[in-house]
Parts: sequence; structure tokens; C-alpha cells
Amino acid sequence: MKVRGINIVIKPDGSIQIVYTGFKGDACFEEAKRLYDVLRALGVDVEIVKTEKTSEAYNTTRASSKVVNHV
Amino acid sequence: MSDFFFWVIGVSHISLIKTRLKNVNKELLRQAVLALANELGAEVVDEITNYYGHRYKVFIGIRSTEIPHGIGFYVDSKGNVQLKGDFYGVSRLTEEKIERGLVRHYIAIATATALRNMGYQVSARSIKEHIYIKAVGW
Repeated sequence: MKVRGINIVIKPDGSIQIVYTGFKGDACFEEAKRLYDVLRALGVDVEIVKTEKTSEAYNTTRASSKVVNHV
Repeated sequence: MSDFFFWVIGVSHISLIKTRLKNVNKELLRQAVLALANELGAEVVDEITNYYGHRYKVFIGIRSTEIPHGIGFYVDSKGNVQLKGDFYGVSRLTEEKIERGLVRHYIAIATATALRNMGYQVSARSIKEHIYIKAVGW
């Protein structure tokens, strides 16, 4: 099972940088929305200043097949 | 024999976020003040004084050599954090350090709590007024 990671830096001025890794497709955006909703419920209002996608080939599946010549 | 490779492209992302405290949770505020007191080497108190020595009860507060009368923290009716204290003799720099530290610790505690509630294993460390949180999930 793939490990999902969320790395956060909270800066002295209270701004945050969040890096999501290991999510498939747009799952990281759904997880981000979930996190912001929970944060708002805990008293932290968030405003997204900037978002950049980081494409990563994180799941490589190697498949082998035998080619048989039919005569 | 031939090999085929299937690549599943994952899209993760980086976000920069501005924050502000709104509808503050009193228990998280208490934890943030404890963390701030630890960082500043201050004492945690439930009573502060003014210049004349009058005493005032507060939800939670801190006192140190830099803030000898103490500063109290409470959540007002609109859910905002308010600071209460006699700031005579307290430098503006110290006042800003307290305000910024409180916000930073509150956000860190709220973020760690949120991630744990979402099922992640969370670890945190603080280096030079930056707080680093690492969350791992499966």
C-alpha cells in the first residue's frame, strides 16, 4: 500500500506551506479540502494563496507477458 | 518474452496558505498558551496584575521577567482571541513575539489535531520559530 504524506511548515508569521505526496490523481486536492474543513472547525481560517501541482510518477507497475508465435 | 511498463502518474501538490484565527477552540488555546510559555520560559498563571497591583482573573495567562504583570488570553463573544494585561514597560517587540507565537502554536496544534482526526500519524518539531509537521497515512 502506498504511503501518503503531508509535510507542513508553519512560518513565524503564521502562514503555512503544505506539500502533499503519494496521492493518486486528484486525491491530494480532495484531502486538502478535507484538511481545510477540519482546520476551520478548529478555529483556523485558511486562504489559499498559491497552489502548484508536482507531477510525480509514483506508482510503477511492471508487467511481463510472454509472446507466443502461433504457426 | 517482452516487458510492458505501466506508469500511473500521480499528481501531488504544494500550497501556500494564509491563516487567521476565527471561532477559536478554548482547549486548543489553552494548549497553545502552554506551548508558548514553554518557548518563552514563562510561568502559566490564571491571574494577572496591573501597575497598581490590582488582580484580575483570566482564562489562562503567562508571566515572565519581560512581562512582569502577566498577560491573559481569552476568547471573546465573536470567537476571536484577545490579550489582556498592563503592557506598561513591555516592549512592542515582546508584545509582537507573544502575539505571533500564540498564533503559530495555535495553528500547529490545530493542524496536528486535524491530521490525527483524519487518521494520520503525526510528528512535529520546532526550529527557530518554524514548526515542522510530518503526517503519514496509508
